[in-house]
Amino acid sequence: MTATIPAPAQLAPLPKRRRRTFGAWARVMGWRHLVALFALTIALFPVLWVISAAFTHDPSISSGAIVPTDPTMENFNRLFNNPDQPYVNWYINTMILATLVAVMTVLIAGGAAYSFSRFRFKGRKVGLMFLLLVQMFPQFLSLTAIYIIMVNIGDVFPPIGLDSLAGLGLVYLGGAMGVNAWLIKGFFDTIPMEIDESAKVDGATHGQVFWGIILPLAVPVLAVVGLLSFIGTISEFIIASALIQDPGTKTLAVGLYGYITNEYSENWGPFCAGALLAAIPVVLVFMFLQRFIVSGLTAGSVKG
Amino acid sequence: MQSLISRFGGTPALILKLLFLGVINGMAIWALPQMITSGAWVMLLVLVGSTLALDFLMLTKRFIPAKYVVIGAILLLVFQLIPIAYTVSIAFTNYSTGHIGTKQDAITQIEANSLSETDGALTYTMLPLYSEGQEVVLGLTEVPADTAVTDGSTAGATDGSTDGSSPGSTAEPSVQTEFGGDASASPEPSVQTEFGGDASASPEPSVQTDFEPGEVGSDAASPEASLSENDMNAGVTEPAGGWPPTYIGTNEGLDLVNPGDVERDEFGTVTGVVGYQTIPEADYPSLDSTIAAIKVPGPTGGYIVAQGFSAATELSPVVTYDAASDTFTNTATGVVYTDNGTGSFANPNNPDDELLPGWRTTIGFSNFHRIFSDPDITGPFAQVFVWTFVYALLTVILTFAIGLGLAMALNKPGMRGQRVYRSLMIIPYAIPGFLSILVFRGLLNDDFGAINTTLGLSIPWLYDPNWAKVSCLLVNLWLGVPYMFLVSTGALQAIPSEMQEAARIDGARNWQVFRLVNLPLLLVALTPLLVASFAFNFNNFNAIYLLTGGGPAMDGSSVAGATDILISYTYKIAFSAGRGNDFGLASAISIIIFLIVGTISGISFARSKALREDRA
Repeated sequence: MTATIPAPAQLAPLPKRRRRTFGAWARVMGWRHLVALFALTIALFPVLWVISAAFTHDPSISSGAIVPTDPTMENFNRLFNNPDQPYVNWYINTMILATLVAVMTVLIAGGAAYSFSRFRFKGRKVGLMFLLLVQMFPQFLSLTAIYIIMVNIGDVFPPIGLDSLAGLGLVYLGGAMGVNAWLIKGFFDTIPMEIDESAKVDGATHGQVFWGIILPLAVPVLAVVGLLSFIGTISEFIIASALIQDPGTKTLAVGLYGYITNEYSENWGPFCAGALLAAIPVVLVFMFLQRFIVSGLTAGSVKG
Repeated sequence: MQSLISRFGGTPALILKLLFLGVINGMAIWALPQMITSGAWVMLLVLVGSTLALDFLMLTKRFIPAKYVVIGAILLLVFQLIPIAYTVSIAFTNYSTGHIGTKQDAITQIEANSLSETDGALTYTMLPLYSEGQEVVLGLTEVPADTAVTDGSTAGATDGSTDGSSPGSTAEPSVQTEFGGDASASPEPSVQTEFGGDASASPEPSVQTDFEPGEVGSDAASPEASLSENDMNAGVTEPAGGWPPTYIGTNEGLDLVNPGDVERDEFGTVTGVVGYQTIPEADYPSLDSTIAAIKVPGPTGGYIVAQGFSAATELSPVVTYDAASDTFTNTATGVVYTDNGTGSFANPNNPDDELLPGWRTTIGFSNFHRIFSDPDITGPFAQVFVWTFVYALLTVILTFAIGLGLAMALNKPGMRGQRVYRSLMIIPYAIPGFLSILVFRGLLNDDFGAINTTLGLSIPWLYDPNWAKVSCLLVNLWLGVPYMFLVSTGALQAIPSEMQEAARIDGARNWQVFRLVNLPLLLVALTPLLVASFAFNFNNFNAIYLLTGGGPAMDGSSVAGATDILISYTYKIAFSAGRGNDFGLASAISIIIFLIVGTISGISFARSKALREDRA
């Protein structure tokens, strides 16, 4: 699963432009721009619409003008000042949870990948195959069982039982190895063994090789795994909705779903404000890590 | 490099490691006694095993590879493997609403549920008291039959049906888990819980008892009102036949109180018993469930049970259990109910006549059998099954076709603005999926949705079965095309231009170059991704459930809707509001889903180079 396909940005160098007639330009280039603009319109219409609706008084009855005629912060005020629907809590919960799960996923999957890439031991092949096999059974298929297990754990350890973000995070980490370990292992395999061998000659322990050499060299793939785990956690709905019932402990996905399924038209404006705020950090992180992503995607990961 | 590496080792790392192990071990030791007392043996085994494995592997100098896998492996075991094994085992049981607890729980609860007031049953005025040991007991004074309290007399007799409905909207999945009649006797945690994102759902799980405290409490007003009338009738002076007898009622039985020890007010109402402390009314609400749980064996073979806080009635079981023959007999009709082998007591002459609740038991392949033979399930299941495949296949084909087309249109050397186009094109991909889907739910609203208002349409995007399917596909295209665009762009650029040039020199036209050179090469590179995308969309719960909730509902009594895919159908079977929870059936369908996806992915993985690439 090595990243064999390079990012588009790195290729396609722009050759020197020549002077051409408009007709030739239209035939060769013009339609491409038209297609691109059409696709962008569809791709960005909902995004622009949400941004607009977030600043509109009552977007459910407005005419749908893309630029709000009378911009207002009213939706944000309503969003932040609704004690029954503590959006700010959901936001903080989700960001902390997603960040921690992403970091832990990278460490857990990275550790497993290190083990499978750098060591030869009995059961290694079987272990690798097993990880692939287990990953085919999506975690949420066993939701009932997870729920009952969490009830039982909560009886003994309330802090990681039901209605606990820590418990939810642990459940997510149960699926952390699987494909992620494969993805990272593929990258580790491309790092020459000679590097860690020379470090070992210099007296480095296996731990120092892992933390000091392998992980820093694998930042691109770690970034992809971390980012996909981050977004996946933010988007996860089924398990979170089953395990979290306390309004103040909800994640954004569960909270916002309840927010608009109750009184849709009434909550539509604040919902758009909330969606906008929730999307911004994710899109920023995504853009920031974009150069790593294409290679990671082509290596076989699917975003949730 | 040297300094960087040396930072990861030595004493600080050791201290961190020991701290980590200390915390884990501390938690484990703290939890041990509770697990032993509650008899959670499987959990105990897993905890002890995991902790010891962690300690050993972290501290030993050997087994280096295992050190890097152990934490992930433990989490995988607890939150992935054990749930899978549990799911498989549930698939072969009748675990569902009405079949939750053990057989013994069921017997206890059937008897308790069948308690009802029989003709000539005695009623009592009641005064909750503290005994000397601060135990709550009932001061019970017989009410002569002609002035019996009638209001609310059946408030305590809950019927046998175990309804899984919740106060939330139907979109809210809800599971109500009831274990037996007696919470403390139940071997499993007896919690009533509600799934779902409803803020109105009770935040705390409440213990479900035989006699729903709220129900009794809400009825309390009426018996009290009628009692005060009785008290007025009773008059101030002792009636000719003497005061009716007063008893102390406990779970052990009735104790007659010496008439001289009974304290009365000027209306003759009992206000206290010598040797007992009258419970102030202010404390009643907190003792609600305690009082309701007291079942005093009555003189005619039934139980005297509180009705509110000031009256009690003797209730008798309608069906009685005979342990020797393992049967229930209805004392009124004489019908004998026997164990039907699938977790219920049923009338052998009329198999649908079952006593509720049943219990949880293994029923072999019945759940799988039901999918193909039960008319209530087969029809909806077949529709859902077909739609799942159509949905996943069409999604993959269309997203790939559109994504590839876009990639080819933009993959022209010398085209201006490529970078900007590409950056903007992946914005839909960068936004968390659930947000986009929920936004589309609003945009597609037939009433105020921007798509209808902007385009001047009035299409019932989400409320017509066919339009809803179209909507699901369109939204999923919007979500999926950017991904296909990204990977197609990458794959296109990886095709060596020499091959295309060679084809052109051989006389191939553009279309031929695409069909004979580019497409085969692309498919080789992208097939694993297309298969992964199929598997992902096969189980794309969010894209269906958050958009349409699986709806609109199919005709008939099924929980399935027109846009339900297998996974959302399964979710609704397990956790749907109002229809009960059929965990057994849901688990069986989960296994079918796994077999389908597993087979497809397995073939793909076996053929992919991922495994071969691993340098052994």
